[in-house]
Amino acid sequence: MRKVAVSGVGYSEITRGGITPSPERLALIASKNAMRDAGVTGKDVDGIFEYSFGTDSPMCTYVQKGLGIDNLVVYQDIMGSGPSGLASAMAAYMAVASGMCETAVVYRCITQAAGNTGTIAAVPPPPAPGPNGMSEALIYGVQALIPSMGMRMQRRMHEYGASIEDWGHIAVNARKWSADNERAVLRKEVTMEDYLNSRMLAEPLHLLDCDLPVNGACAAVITTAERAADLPTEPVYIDSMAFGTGSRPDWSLGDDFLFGGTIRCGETLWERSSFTPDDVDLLELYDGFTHITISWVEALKMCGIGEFGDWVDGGRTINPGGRMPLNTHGGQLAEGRLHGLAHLTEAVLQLRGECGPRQVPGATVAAIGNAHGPQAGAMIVSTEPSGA
Amino acid sequence: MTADLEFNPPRPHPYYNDVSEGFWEAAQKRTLAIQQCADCATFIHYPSALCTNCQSENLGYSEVSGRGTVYSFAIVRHGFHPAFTPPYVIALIDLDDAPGVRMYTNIVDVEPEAVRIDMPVQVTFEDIGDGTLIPQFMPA
Repeated sequence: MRKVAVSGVGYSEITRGGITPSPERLALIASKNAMRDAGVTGKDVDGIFEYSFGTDSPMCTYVQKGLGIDNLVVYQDIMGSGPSGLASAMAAYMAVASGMCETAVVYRCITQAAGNTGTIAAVPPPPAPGPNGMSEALIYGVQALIPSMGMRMQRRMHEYGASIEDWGHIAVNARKWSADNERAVLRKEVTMEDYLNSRMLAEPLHLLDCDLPVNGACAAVITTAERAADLPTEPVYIDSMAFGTGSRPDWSLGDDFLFGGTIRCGETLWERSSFTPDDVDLLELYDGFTHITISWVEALKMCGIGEFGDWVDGGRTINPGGRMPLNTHGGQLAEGRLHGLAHLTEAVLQLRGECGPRQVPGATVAAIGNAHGPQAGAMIVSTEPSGA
Repeated sequence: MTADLEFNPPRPHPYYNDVSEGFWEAAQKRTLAIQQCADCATFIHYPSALCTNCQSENLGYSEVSGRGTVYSFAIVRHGFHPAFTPPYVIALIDLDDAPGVRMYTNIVDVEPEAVRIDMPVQVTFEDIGDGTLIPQFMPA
């Protein structure tokens, strides 16, 4: 296995409203910006990986054409059953580490604010067909994941004595960080009172438990540590990564309803990592719903299972200036739903020390977790080639 | 007709295939039948092509009492689908006599605010508009 690094990151603009943007343009702009950041051209790139829900994102080969890449020796359009946008970077890591390619571009492009949910998330017409238990859910009025997340919160309160404010701390924290992120769509501070007063969607789940659909794309360049050393940016090494599904996986009927595959994913990640949970300086954890973020905090062993409420200390632990900064870009709750890959790109910018007013001083190790249910994925990245 | 479908769409219907038809055929007879492995007796839901314990293909459907308890629930207060008018309760039920089986359902015939985790419930069958029956649960 070869050592692998992230050498560049890039974004398109992130917006809501206005004329419907071309997904192709967003993906190309983000990828071009990532390549410029890394100091590579189309001649240097031989792999592309993208994660999509189908029609919401352009195919690898379309982006290849626009970026002037001569030939792809590996590529994959990864459809929506993986660990969200991070799946593209996980695939690139495997390809570069194994020697299947030298330098890969990865991206996640999304135009959800313009109503393009992609083919996978689109609502099937009645009578509802479907490959699995999700079609069973639809006959009971469970569309998408919101009611299922509400049920997780209800069960967590019952099992661990969690309070509704636990999830509120994730929502409030997002805006504290996004206030200093110019990319973020939502930058106005919200209070716990605002959270508790936000519209109830699937009691006990509130509107502010949900991320914000946007139009935008982000991208990264992933290459060998050897090549990264010759590029202009400071390399951020991928120390380790892991998938996790858990047993008998299913979004609602799986064996671990509260955590999905996140606990098994965390166990594998720490077995593979040269770092330990004590080495982590900041967390970039998926926040499509606030329940997912709490699962990752516990699954990555920042605290014991069920102990988030004490650990978060009224928000102080994770807020700016806290001992474990969380979602320093504001996450998907505030920056906008770039669907997981932006948790990696923000980690890279933090470890390179380029985050201006929201910079976490001296950060060298970041933990990233993506998705939930049967689709968990996680990664440790660091400016150090390996831990002690 | 087009306008009627747009504003009053039918309830989503169960989808049958060769693996799951036993569950839905039983429901049409007001019976709750859960897939069970004839070799190792494991109950499986949602139906699977192989026993999730021993990978046997020797699978059938066994009638169960329809009694269970609420594992978790949420009160849906936002309209997610035009055929469903909030508020309504979505829940997961653990069946008393089919170990390891958890099912989706609505909790019917109860005020949403009265639903509790661990509440005993009993299956009932609801006609979703055209004679098609789906399993639902109500307080026992």
